[in-house]
Amino acid sequence: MTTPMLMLTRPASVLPKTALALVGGLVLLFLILPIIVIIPLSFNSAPYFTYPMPGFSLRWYAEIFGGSSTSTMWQRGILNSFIVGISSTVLATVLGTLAALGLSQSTWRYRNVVFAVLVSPLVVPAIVSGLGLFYVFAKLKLVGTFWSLILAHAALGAPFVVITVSATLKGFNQTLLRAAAVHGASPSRAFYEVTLPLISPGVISGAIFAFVWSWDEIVVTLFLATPPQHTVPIRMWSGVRESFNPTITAVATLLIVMAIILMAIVGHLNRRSARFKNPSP
Amino acid sequence: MTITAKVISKALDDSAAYGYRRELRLKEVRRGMLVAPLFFYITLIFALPIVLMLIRSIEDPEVSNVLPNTASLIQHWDGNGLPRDEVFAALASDVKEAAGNRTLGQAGSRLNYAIPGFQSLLMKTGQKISGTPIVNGMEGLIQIDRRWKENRYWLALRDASSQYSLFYFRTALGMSATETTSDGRGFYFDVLARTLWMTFVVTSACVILGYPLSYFLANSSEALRIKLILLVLLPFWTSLLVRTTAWFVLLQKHGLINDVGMFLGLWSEPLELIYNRFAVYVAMTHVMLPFMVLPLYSVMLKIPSTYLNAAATLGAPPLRSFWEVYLPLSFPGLGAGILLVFIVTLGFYITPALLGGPADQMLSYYIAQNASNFGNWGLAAALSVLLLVVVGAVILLFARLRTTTYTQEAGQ
Repeated sequence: MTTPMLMLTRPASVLPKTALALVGGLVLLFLILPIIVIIPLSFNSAPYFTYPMPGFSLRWYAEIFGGSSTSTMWQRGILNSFIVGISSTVLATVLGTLAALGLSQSTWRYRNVVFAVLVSPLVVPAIVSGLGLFYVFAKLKLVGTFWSLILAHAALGAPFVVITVSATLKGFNQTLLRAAAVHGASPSRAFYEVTLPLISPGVISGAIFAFVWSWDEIVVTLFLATPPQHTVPIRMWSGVRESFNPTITAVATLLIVMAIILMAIVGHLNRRSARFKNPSP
Repeated sequence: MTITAKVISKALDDSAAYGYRRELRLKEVRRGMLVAPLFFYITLIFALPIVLMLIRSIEDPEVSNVLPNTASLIQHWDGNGLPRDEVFAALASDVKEAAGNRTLGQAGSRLNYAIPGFQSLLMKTGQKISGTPIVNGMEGLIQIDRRWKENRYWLALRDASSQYSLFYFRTALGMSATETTSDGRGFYFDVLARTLWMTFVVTSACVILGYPLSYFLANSSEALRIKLILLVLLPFWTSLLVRTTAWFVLLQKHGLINDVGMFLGLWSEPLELIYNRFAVYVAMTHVMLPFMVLPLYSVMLKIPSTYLNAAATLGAPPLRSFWEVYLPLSFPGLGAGILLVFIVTLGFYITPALLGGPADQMLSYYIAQNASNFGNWGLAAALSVLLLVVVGAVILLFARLRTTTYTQEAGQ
């Protein structure tokens, strides 16, 4: 009697299990190994890119954080990435959250068109965006200023905020706002005390996406930045092309660590907002 | 009494309805005011600059600005033999004036796009004419350079004589006389074909690797699945440049892959793994694979296993129930993954530039090259339009495919 019960409850596998696990495992290795392998190489005492390593050393990290001229260059790049990343993220988050709030309950006829315009920076190839922005920003004398990078990165990051906040608002119970109004809360108080705490996981996830996008962005930045504004990806790009040395693997390792931290935060927020949507009994 | 009461009550109803409608409208206006800042921001800071740049693809003002009399006269020429003497005379005086204003170079660089060497011809003519008091039309110009006797230079001049033209689109689509490859097709036509082919290969590779992986993840136990999905998420979150750099390190002549291969005795000489198509394919597939796996996996998670049990109960062998039940149910995820991978891969620039050779560059590379190295904004803009049209067409195609699938489902 137990056999048919099992057949109904266990997910039926239609592909041979071991072969599938083998292929899946190999593809996972393909995904993760290139990223893992680069990390130990950044601690190599010799400037080679292969194993076995002759010894352990922090010299490539000293190249970044020390006092030499290359170090100043890397530190300047890190500072620039933070300046552009934080400013553009703040701008994208404020504009994107407001837009998502406005879109959430609207019934306009051209709602889809408006939405398409708001997320268009995700679809347009980076080279086209970079060229267009350079073309106009050069005429406005903005190329070679932080403004051009902040304005551009905010436009590229805002769609992420719109999408994540919109997703959070799908599970948002509108009667909560009516309840707040019934109890005498002004609309702005209801926003700060009811809406904002509930959508904050979406807002923060969107902000992190926008920040990561800004830290990653290279094509548009290549067009708009002059050396004083060069960000970390631009430094890496010219490093790989001109004088490849293990310092770049050290920078890459730092960026991987940053990715892990931000990924963990977003994972945590997603679990939190999932709990809000379907409260467990 | 009752009539009055009814009238009053109806009036009240009406005013209540009016008030309600008014309130609804006010709410919509308030929502519009929330959306407006980002909408105008994107339109002004992002969309408008791109449109302005794209318009450059049909602007062709240099020759008619620098050589105005020649431009207006040559438009009446039928293109056979040589133009009339007055056109030669107009060109001589235009060139003389432009050489004096130092604007001749602008027209020269535009004409050079049509026929390489035209710029030097124009500059040489300008130099000679500035020294002589009067140049008598046809003979004078031909005396300066015999190329003025050739029909094609005059055709190129006529072609460039209006403010707006499709010259750059003809070059971009390989229909211009210059920039042809050995088999007669245009150079940029080949670039477009190569871009589409490379995108197709990478998308296929992502499907072939991503489908089994997603299936494996979706059908593992929850505890295992949550751990393994991190191995897909970490590459997704890691910077594109870091991943490209990782492959740059791995694929070196004395890099890890060559060392391991030779250590295992798979090959004895270091292989050329980098600066070729292979390196570009491997790295781009690695970069794009999470974009395929994540949507596919999330759709597969929601496929109820009872459907497969039903197929099995009804006597379908595993392969048939996969083919007829599981695969169609996974189509939404597969479609989303393919669309994402395809449109992002079309615009790739960084990875081919770092890992590929000259023959492995995609459309983005030539757009950047024309704009920043050659200053040929017209061609860069025309190639950008081409890239956008392909991306737009792919999106529309997928939107259409999805609606037809839905209507079919509704019809059944």
